Amino acid sequence: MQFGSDSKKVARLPPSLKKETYNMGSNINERFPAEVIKMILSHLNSIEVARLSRVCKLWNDIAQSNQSLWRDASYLRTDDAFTFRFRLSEVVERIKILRARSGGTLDHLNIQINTIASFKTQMKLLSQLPAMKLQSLRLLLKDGREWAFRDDDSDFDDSDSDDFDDSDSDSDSDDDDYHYNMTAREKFKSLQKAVRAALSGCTNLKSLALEDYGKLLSILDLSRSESEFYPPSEWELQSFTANGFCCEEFFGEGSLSRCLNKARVVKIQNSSPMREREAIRLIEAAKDTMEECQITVRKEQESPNNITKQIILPKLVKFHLHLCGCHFSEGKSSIQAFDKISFKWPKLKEIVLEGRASLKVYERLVPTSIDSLRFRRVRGFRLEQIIEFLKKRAKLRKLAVEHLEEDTETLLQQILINLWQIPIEDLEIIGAHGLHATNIKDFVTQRKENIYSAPLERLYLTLRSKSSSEKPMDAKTLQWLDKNIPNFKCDLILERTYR
Amino acid sequence: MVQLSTSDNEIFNVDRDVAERSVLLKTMLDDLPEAEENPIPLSNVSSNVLKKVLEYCAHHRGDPAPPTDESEESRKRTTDIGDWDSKFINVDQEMLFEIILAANYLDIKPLLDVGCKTVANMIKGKTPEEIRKLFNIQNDFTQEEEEQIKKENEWAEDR
Repeated sequence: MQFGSDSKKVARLPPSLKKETYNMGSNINERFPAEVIKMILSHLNSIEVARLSRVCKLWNDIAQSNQSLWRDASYLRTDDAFTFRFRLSEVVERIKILRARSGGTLDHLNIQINTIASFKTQMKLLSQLPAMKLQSLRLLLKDGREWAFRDDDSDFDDSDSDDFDDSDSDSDSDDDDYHYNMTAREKFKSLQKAVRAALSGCTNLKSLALEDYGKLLSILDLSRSESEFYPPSEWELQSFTANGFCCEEFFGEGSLSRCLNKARVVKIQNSSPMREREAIRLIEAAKDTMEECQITVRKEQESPNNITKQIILPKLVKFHLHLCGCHFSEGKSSIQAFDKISFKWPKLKEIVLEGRASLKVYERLVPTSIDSLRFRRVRGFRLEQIIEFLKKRAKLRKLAVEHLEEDTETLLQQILINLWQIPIEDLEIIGAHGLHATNIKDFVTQRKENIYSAPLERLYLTLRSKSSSEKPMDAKTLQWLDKNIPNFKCDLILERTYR
Repeated sequence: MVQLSTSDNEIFNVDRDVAERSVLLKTMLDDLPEAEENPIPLSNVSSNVLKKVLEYCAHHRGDPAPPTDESEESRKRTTDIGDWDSKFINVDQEMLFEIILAANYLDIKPLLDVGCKTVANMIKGKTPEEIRKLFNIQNDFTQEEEEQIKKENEWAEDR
C-alpha cells in the first residue's frame, strides 16, 4: 500500500524502546476520553441525547454539563408534511425542557403553525423564536380545520397554556374566549404577522424553510402582505426553501431579494410562482453566491422595462426553471423578461426545464456544453424540435424526460437514430407509455453495438400500462436488461393509478 | 519525507503533506526542524492502525483546512459521511475505536469526525440497554437514580 509515495518499512527500533501497548479493554468508557464521547454525542439530536443520558453516570454527566448537546430540535416535526409526531402542547413542553438544558438557545427548530391549535400558545411560541438564536428554522403553515389535530380538543381551549412559562395566564382567560371566537382567517392574519415579526428577530438565521402545502395563504386570501419585509441587517441566509409558499406576496415586493444576497441555495417550488421581474431581481441579488437555484415564474402582466441584458452566475451548478401559465401562441412565448436576458454560468452542469415556453427561450437557456438535462412536462414542442435541440448538446451525459406529449416509443427510436454521437450514459423516462420491451432491447443492443456511442450506465423507466392485464415487460427481457445495463430499473405504474 | 515509528516499532516513510494532515505532526515538524531526520515515535499507535490512518491522510492530502473550533459548537448535527469515507470506515469495532483514538491523539479532526459519526450511527435508535451491551458499559446507576433519570427524560421516549 502506498501513502503518498514510498512507505515500505526501512528500520526496526531495538526492543528496549518498545512502549507499553495501549489498553485493549473494549469498554468504550475506559478506552475513550470523555471529550471523545462528547464528540460522539454531538452528532446526535437532543432526543437521542436525552435517551443516552440513561446509559451510565459518565454519559449522563457529559450530557448534563454540555449545553450545546441540547440545541438540535429539528426532529420536533417529521419531514412528512402530513404526519406529525407531536402535538403543540408537547412541542412547547419539549422546547421548554431543551432550553432549560441548553442555556436558552437552540440551533435547529422545526414547527408548524395552524388555524385551530391554540392561538395564544402559537403566538407565544413565535414570540420566543428570536430569543432562541436559531440558525435554522423550518416553518409549516397549515390549515388545521381540515385534518390536523382533529381529535385534539385540549389544544383548542388553551389548557396547556399554564405550563408555558406564563406568569399572567390567569388574567388571559377573557382573551381566550375572544380568540376562540375569531375566525380562522382573523387568527391566521395575526399569526402571519407574528411569523414576520419572529423572522425579523431571528438574526442568526442561516437556513430558512417555509412550507404551505395546502396553500393556506391563498385559500384564506391572505397572500398579500400589507407592508414590505425588511430582513435584519445581520441576516446571512445561506439556504432558503419555499414549498407551496406565496413568497412574493408574503414578504412584499422586492423583499426576498434583500434577504437572499448571500444565499447559496434557493429553492422555490410547487406552484408559488413569482412574477418574472421579481424572479430576476432575486437571481441578480444572489448571483455571486448561488450554487443551486430552483424558481417558479409566472407571466408578467405588462412588459417589464429596464431589464438587465446579461446576468453572470459564477458559482451556479444547478438551475431549475418552472414557467407557469406561460401560454404561447404562434411560436412566441408570452414570457417577456426571460426572453431578453442572456445568462452566463460557467459552472452549470444540470438544468431542469418545466412548463410551456417557446423553444427559443430554452435554446438560449441551455448551454451546448450541458452535462445533465431534464425536461419535465414541457409543452409546445414537436418531437423533431426536441431531437434537433438534443443534437446540439453533444456533451449530454444524463437525459431525463417526464410526461412529454409525444409518445415515447417514437422518442426512443428517434434518440437511437439521431443521437448516437451524444454520449448519454444515463437515461430516465417517466411516463413511458407505449413503450414495449422490444423497443428497449433494440435500443440497448444497437447502442451497445454502435462504437461511437457510450454504453448506457443507467436506465430508469416508469411505464404506464394501458390496462392492468397488459404486461409491458416480460420476465425474460427484464433479465436481459438486468444483465446488460449495470443500473437498470423499471417501475410499472398501472394506468388506473393515473387520472 | 517524514519517518514515523509505531508502538510495534515499524517505521513508515510518509510525504510531508500527508503527515501534516495531523495537526500534532505538523506542529512538531514546524517547531523541530530535526524531526525530519529522526523517526517520530508514535507510541500510542500500532502499525496496522497507522497504515489505515495514513491511507485516509493520503486520500485527503489536498483537502482545504478544516474550519476552526469556532464553528464546532454550532455545526449542524449530521451523520452523513462521504462515499469514500464510509467505505474507508467500514471496519470492525476494534479497528474503528483504534482509528478514533489515533485521530484524537494525532489531532486529525476530519478523521475523528468520521469515526465519531460512525459510532453515532451505531447508537441511533437504540435503547440504553442495547447501547450498554454494544459498548460493554456497566450500568452504574442505583435503582433510585435510574428511576429519577428515566423520569427526567421521559419526554424523549418513543411513543
